Amino acid sequence: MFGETAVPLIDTTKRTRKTQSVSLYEGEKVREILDEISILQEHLESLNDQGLNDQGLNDQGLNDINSPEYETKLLIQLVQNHDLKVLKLYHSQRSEKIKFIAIQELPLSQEMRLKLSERERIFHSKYSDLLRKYKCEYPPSLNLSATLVPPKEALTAVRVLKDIGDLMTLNGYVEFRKGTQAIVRKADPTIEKLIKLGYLKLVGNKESTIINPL
Amino acid sequence: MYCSTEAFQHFFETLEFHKDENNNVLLLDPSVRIYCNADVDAICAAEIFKKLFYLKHKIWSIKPIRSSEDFDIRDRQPSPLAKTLRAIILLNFGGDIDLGRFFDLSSHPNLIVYVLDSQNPINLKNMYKTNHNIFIVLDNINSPENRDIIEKAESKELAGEKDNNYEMVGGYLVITDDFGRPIRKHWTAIDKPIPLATGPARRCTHGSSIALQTYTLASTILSNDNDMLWLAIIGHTSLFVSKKINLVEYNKMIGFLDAEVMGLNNSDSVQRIHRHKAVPAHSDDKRIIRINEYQCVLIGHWTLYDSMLNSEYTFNKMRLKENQAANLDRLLRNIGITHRMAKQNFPSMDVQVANSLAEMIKEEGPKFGLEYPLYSSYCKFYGYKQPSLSASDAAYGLITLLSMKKSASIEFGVEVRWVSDFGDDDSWLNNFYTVMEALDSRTGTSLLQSGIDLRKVLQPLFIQGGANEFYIL
Repeated sequence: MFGETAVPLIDTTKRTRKTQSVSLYEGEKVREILDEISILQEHLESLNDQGLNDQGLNDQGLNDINSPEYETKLLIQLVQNHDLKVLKLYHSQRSEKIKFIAIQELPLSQEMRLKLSERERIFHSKYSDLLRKYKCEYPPSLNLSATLVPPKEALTAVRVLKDIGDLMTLNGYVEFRKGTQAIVRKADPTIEKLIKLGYLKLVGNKESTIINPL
Repeated sequence: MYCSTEAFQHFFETLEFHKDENNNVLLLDPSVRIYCNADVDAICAAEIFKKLFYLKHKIWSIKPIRSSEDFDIRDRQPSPLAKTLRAIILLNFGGDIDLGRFFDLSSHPNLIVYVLDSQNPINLKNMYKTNHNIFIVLDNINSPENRDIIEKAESKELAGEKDNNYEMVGGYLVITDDFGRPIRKHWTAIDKPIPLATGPARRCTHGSSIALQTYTLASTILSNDNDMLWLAIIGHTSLFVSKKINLVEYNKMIGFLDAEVMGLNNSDSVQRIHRHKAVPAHSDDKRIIRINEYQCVLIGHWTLYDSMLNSEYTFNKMRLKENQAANLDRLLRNIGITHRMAKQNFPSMDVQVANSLAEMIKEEGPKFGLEYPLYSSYCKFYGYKQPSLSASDAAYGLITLLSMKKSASIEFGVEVRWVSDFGDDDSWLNNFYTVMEALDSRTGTSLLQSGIDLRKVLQPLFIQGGANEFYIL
């Protein structure tokens, strides 16, 4: 029945509302809904071709509120609107998550790429370029991708999960070797980036400062 | 060279920012690198150092180690770019290695290596005055063992290379090794009976706890607190429960610890209380108190019967394996404790029975070989929400978390929140950091409790000698 095609996509949207990661793109369901919308549009056009005005309700049909053609048209447009809303909701939820990934400068892994549609990948790429151009206008010390929650302490302990080597940080030259634990400045953009990339792990910190949708 | 714990204080006082002479730039945030051996005492010492460095706003990094093979070239030769590195601290490692050759500090002339090592014998070359940037920290310079080491090092340094390392030992010329042990007689002394050392050098007695030494440093610079004191107590107790020191050596430090506990916990009472009387006074009670602890494993979390049956002390002294625990049954009957009472959880035992237990066991225990069934220990409260833990409970729990494979907890159905940041090849690192997290006074008590639960399950296997497959190699 018309309208039921969108129900699985609503369930998916509801289920993934609170998850942080982007789920696999439901291309099949989206196509079914689009097919339904186009079928309904054909119905609408065929009704119009049978002698009614294209403007639908603004016509004499509006005065003829009890006519079956009016009811049919209304129903078709309601179902179409409903399907469009579902599609918009689904895609906007996904695009918010993609924007978050781009803002946090998190890399797009192969696994994540496979979960996105082609257009979403292009969207991510263009959005990242836009952000990069915007950030270029500001000095590097102003970290626009930093978390909005201010740190409670100046220094924090991190555990090195992978061998990074020697890096220059705000503390000076630090050697990040796998298996070591060190104290570093929390507001250091280099440290934040390494935490996001999974090379470092915050230790003994109850608050989750960065939500990683990956 | 060597220094006392008091002189180690100088290290903290000089660990301030200094100038980079090459670039004429003031370098802030001096940093310290700590290499910590994988044992409970060293980890407790590392935790105290972390707290001290935090209070002094110093940057630190810790690397866990098991042997010299865990050092790579970047550890032994710090990069010249690391200009803020001021000191390297070795915890329970390095005493027996010629550190002057082990480390290449040519690019860091001001860098100092401090060694707190109570388990390895001291390599005399580390005590030479020519090694001016290596310091062996000795807990008591005037003790006979340390005086002996100092004299041997001085005479060996004087002997030098020109005399082919011949030294006078007991009036005879002998060649000694780096630990001062005679290994070859000089040809003129060939007829004289001198015992020559064979095999690897070993320490005659385990040194005092390095956690305690670090705490002493903290109290010297007036930066000590109750958490550090508890860490020092756990470090010291871990040596006793793992049989590295005996009861006499353990009791040597009790006077000092008692004074610290009374000072930091506003305790007026002179008497120690028995284990079952250790209950918190209010919901925020985080005190450390002095107790008389039983020489039984995890008695505060077990039944009296199981704890006595599965403790090495009682098992060996009462020969429970040979007589099928008949001696234990007899002892309990003599004390006036029925089998049913002994099978109750110790904290839930009848108060009158528990009150009389300590006195009766002191009276009847020697008849069954238990000459010292009780010893002086400490207990920490965590309010009403969590059970109080004695120092031996904590030590057993930590030793278990450090040495057992993750599969042991899965096999015996004990839920342990292991750290799992590293793969199977480096699983010992997961254990190391699990212990570090369990020592966190705010968040680690549940992890420590799960270590205790795991120990309870594994203890019967340890007694029977059948738990080797669960050890991390």
